[in-house]
Amino acid sequence: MLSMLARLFKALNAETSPWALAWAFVLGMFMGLTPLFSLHNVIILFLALSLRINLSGFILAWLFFSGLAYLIDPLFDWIGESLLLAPALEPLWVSLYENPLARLFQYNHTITLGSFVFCLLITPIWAPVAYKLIVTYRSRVKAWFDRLRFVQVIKGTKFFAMYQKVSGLRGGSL
Amino acid sequence: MNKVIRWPGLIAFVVIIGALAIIIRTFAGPIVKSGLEYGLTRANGAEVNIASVNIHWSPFSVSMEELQFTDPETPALNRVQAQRAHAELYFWDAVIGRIHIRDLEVSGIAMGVERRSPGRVRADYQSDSEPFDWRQTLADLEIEIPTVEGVLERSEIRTPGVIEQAQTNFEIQREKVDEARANLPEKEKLEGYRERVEAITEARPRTPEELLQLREDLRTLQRDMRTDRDAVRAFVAVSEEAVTVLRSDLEAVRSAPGQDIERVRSLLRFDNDSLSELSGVLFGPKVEQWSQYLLMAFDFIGPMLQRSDDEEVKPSRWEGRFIDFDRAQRPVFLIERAVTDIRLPDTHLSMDWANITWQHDRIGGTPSTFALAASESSWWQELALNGEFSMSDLRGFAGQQAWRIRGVNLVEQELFAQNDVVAKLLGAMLNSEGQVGVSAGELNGSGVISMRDVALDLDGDARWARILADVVGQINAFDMNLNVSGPMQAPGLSIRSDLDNQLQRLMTARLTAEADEQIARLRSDLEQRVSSATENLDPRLNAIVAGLAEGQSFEALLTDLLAVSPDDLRLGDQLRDRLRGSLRDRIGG
Repeated sequence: MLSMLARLFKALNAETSPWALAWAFVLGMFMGLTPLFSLHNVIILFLALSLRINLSGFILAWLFFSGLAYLIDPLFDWIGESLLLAPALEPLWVSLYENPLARLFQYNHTITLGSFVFCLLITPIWAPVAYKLIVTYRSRVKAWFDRLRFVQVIKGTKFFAMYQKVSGLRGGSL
Repeated sequence: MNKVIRWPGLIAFVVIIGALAIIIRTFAGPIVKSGLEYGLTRANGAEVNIASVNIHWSPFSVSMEELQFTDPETPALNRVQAQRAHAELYFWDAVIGRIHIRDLEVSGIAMGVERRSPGRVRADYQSDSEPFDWRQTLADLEIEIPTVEGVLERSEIRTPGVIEQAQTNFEIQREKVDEARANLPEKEKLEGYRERVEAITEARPRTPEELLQLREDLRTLQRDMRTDRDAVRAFVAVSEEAVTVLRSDLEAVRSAPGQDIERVRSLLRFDNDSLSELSGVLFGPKVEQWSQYLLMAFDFIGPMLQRSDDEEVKPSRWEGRFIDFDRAQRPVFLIERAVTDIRLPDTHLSMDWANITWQHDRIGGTPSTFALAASESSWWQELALNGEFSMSDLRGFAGQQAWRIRGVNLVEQELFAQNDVVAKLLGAMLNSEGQVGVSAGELNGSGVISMRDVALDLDGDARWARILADVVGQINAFDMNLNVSGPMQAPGLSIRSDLDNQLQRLMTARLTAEADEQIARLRSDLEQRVSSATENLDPRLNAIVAGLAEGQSFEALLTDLLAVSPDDLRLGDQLRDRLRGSLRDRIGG
């Protein structure tokens, strides 16, 4: 985990594209908020592995949103049930029901549909927000952060040594 | 392109997914086997074993070898087992959890077969019924075999008491009769009365004074006669009472030995309630085994009903739920056609099924049917079993089954072996027919099992076992009325049979025969006592009867003599002739 965090910090501090990190957070959110053993998560995993996004960011976002998902599953259940029971959408759901592929995606499961739709809706917000946060971190937070006293203390810790090992930058700034 | 695609990652993904696909395809059989064993064990309530599962991908089919369903009630036995099952089904339907089997073949089905090792029963298994425990020991029935000695002790032989009572009564009556006899007039006195009345009536009064004198004489004479007549009447009454009492007593004495013997025999009669359950103990396990074959259709249906019940689980908002959009109304589970091959000792039967599902509304209300018909063979003359069932939201579960079996040759088989008592059916011809209906998951029906040309054998050391062994050999035919009721998964059976009555009758005859010698001795003794008593009493009764007859003749004579009225006396011949004629008519003088 320490190694993973170190890699994340390296990515935050290095020249990695902010969008690569932001999309990693988005895919991690999908993976974390929706039920893990779902067919769409295979596609998410495929995208995370085959596209040049930051894997550490993806994994950490996945872990973070997995924990969050336990708290808001009832919300997803409510969203999914509302959609599935909406009369206007019924013809769509009925036609999908006879489609084995759609059934494999478990579209008629309240939490699966609710969480997936929630992720789709939040992505246009979450992706720019993540991008902005990364850019802001690099330009402002990092300099302010380096000046903090406890950061100076941390520089003497094992974590910092690991970070340096990963980054390969002797004497690099935090 | 390279700025966007991470080739190592993409290749790794493809490799991992490809490897997973290969593993799943390679190990599909064991994976499905584990899944099936888990699911079926849950449905069965006890361990289900499948030796192997093979998946054939095109056309998609599943083959299973050596299926064993442990009987949760008797884990040492399999409720049902099959050597092989092969199902052809639609792959994509199966992927989305809709089981649509075109063709199912199950062969080597057997029931109640002993397992190599007892199966595990799920901790949450609950029996649906409390079936009658056929396997209780015969000793538990507490069959009481009466002994002759014991019966004689409590049979209260009454003949000696009756004789004594008769003798006492005789003494009392005799005293009364003797007392009355002492007041009787002498015969000569009565003769004197007759002569004097004749003399008065023969007289020829010439004058009114003579007539008055005669009338006065007659009145005086009649006063004496009335006194004697009252004494005679008292004697007759006492004698009549004595004769009645003594005749009744003698009748009681003569019939007493017969009544005593009948009482002894009735105490030896075997009417113990325990025998009413004997047929159940002897044939219960066998009938239970036979009924498993008769009701095997419901063994297949039972788990499906369980499955349909399981769908009613309320979802959790933390786990979500699947919402059904099945507007096409295709059944979730359907076996279009199935052939089940049932293995019986030394032979097998084939049963055809059609449209097996629990959602009959979705196949136009067509019921599931099953039929078994076997032509005449060396094992039976006729064998037919058929039935149907359907489930609908409106009507619920409804079904029925009927069977008709003729001329089944039963070979030697053990019926019962416990506590050194072994009962065997050496051979019999079995006929059976009946019908069972199902409503709301509960079975209710009845049937008759007729056993002909029966040969039974029983062996044991206990006295009751030896007596039973003597009589079961005489049983040639009997009927068993079978009642079936209870949940489909575990129906309860009860048996009523005339075998119990037959055994009761035969055991009574056997006990009576055993007691015959002692009863004959008892009868001889009692009859000797009666003979001795009656030899003494009969002459005495005859003497009283003779005395009574004499008394009655005295009474008649006196009554006739008193019939002459003093006012009838007249002057001259006219009176004489009239009186003479009257007297002649009454006393024949």
